[in-house]
Amino acid sequence: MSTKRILVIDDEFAVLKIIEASLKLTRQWEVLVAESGKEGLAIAQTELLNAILLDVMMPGMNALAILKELQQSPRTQAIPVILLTATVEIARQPEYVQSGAKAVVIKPFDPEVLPVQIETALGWNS
Amino acid sequence: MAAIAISHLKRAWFNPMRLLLVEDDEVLARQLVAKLAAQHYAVDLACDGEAGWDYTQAVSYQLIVLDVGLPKLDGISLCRKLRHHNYQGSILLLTAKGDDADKVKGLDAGADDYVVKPCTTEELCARIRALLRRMGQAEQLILTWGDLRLDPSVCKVTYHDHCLSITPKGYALLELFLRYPQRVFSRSRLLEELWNFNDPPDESTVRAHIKLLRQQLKAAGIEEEVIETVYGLGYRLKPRSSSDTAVLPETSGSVREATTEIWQQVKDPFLERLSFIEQAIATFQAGTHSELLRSQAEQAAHKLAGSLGMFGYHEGSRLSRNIEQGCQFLYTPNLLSRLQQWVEQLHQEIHTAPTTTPTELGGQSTNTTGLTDNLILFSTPAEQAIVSGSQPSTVEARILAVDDDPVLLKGLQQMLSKWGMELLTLQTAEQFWYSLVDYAPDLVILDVDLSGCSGIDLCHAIRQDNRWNALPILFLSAHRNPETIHQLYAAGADDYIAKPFTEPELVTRILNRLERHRLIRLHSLRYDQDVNSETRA
Repeated sequence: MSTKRILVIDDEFAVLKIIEASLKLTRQWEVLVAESGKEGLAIAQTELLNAILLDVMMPGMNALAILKELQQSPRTQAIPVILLTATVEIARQPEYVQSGAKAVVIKPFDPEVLPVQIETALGWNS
Repeated sequence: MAAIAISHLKRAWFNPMRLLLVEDDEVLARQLVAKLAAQHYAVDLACDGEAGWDYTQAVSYQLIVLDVGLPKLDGISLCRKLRHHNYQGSILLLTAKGDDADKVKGLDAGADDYVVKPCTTEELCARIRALLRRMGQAEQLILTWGDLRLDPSVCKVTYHDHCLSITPKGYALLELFLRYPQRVFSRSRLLEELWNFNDPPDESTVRAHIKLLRQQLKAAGIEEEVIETVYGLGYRLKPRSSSDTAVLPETSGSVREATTEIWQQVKDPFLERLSFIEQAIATFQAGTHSELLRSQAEQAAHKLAGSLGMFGYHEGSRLSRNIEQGCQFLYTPNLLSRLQQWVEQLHQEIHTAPTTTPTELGGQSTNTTGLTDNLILFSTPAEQAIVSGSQPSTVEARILAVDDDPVLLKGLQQMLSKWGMELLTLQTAEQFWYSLVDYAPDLVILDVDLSGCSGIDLCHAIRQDNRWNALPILFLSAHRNPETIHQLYAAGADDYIAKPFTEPELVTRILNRLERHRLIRLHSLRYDQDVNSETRA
């Protein structure tokens, strides 16, 4: 399995740590973390990434604005994004469904299952 | 094995045996409650929309039956409100006869099904069972534990084909344990599951009922222990053999260890959040109201709900979700004490060790791939179509429809081709099996009365065949009598639409079925892969 580089953008320390542990230990993927949208966008511009996990509800910049910026930049527009949220309703809202994100993972997720979910959402397991 | 895994795929944890009925027609309501109680459901009854809403804020119902014409807040608005506030259980609407607009509005508002009034309680109960079954995705019609069999449709328990005599509460307990074979239920949890607001006993009652159930099982000749006591935690169905408890993959040990370490770092901040919520409740109780404080408390609970489950505190996430929803109503004095209770329970929960037993987490079990329950893919055309309301370019589904009415078949052809679905129609069942193999449909539509044979028998035969037992089957029928409807669900139908129906209704139902089928298949595929790789290892 090839190594992946994943950026996680979430303002919750616990979530960042858990995702980092989950992806590193089960898949040996490289995990980069950002605690705000602004920081995340900066990392996305400078690093080569295979995917971004983006929390929907963060103070400051909201997820839709971050997605829009990612899509507008030629450097980042091809990076697949998976949304993270504890609000299930997000998955029904058209603005998120049509946002260009590939999928939503509802929190709390199981750290042992998350890697498989990412692979499924991004078609990495076929 | 796969069936066990799939039965764990719940989107979130609901009280499986507890239902809410929101109905202002006293006569119908009373009949229904009695009927459902006879089926061992604990039913709460609300007489208007607002009361219904309040109930949903206190208990996580797996299924809510809503009348459309309700005082204060009508059923469709309540349905929309529930969906808007993340309610993920099933909603069944009761609509007035012939009001097609209501049906479509209701389904679009997030209802899963509807029943036209006046209806018989039998039909309604069959619909409820079908919805509960669908929520369990591929949940078995009959629940088993070795030779012990429980048939929820007739509330019968047998052992070696001998009927068991079990008290109603004992039955309800047994059904709950069989439905969730790997879950540990605390006594307080069982109270919440199986007793409604009107008859709340204390925990010793649960103990007595468990004891009685054990005696009854033993009296029936079951030597082994069926219900196991998990010290300090509660009760669960005793795993039958090592194959029932899936083995965790090798890597998980280290993820678990890491999780435990991270928990040590975040535990204190989490407890601070909880204290904050506690203070907010106290402030509101003292009569000081602040919108900022309220929203901050809600936010804190939201964060806890999203995080605790990752550390194995599944119950903690559930309680936090209750608190989060409750925080929207901090201005309501009678909810404050309830909130306080949850906060206390959450305190206790966080101070105990996390559940390492495979239980459900936001609906997923930690030892199976639990893929489809909290992962929602955006890229499927079916979902895009449902959400956006626009027509997808293609749904790429093959549908086989059998109906002796050529006009209906032609109509189906027109409706479905617009959605990119391919349709093969048969006027008789003669060529059915040949077409099934040759055409390999993704979904089958059947009529109840087919010339020369019965659609119900055909459905039953399809379900008997291993190759087709998971194939989605939808019935279209002019029959509205509950016996027929009961029969077709018993034969293994997934859904039933009464003729005449509207296009959006039919298409929504088909898309829903296809999507569910896709998710189940995806999950079992992954699960089989995991099992294979474990076996190889």
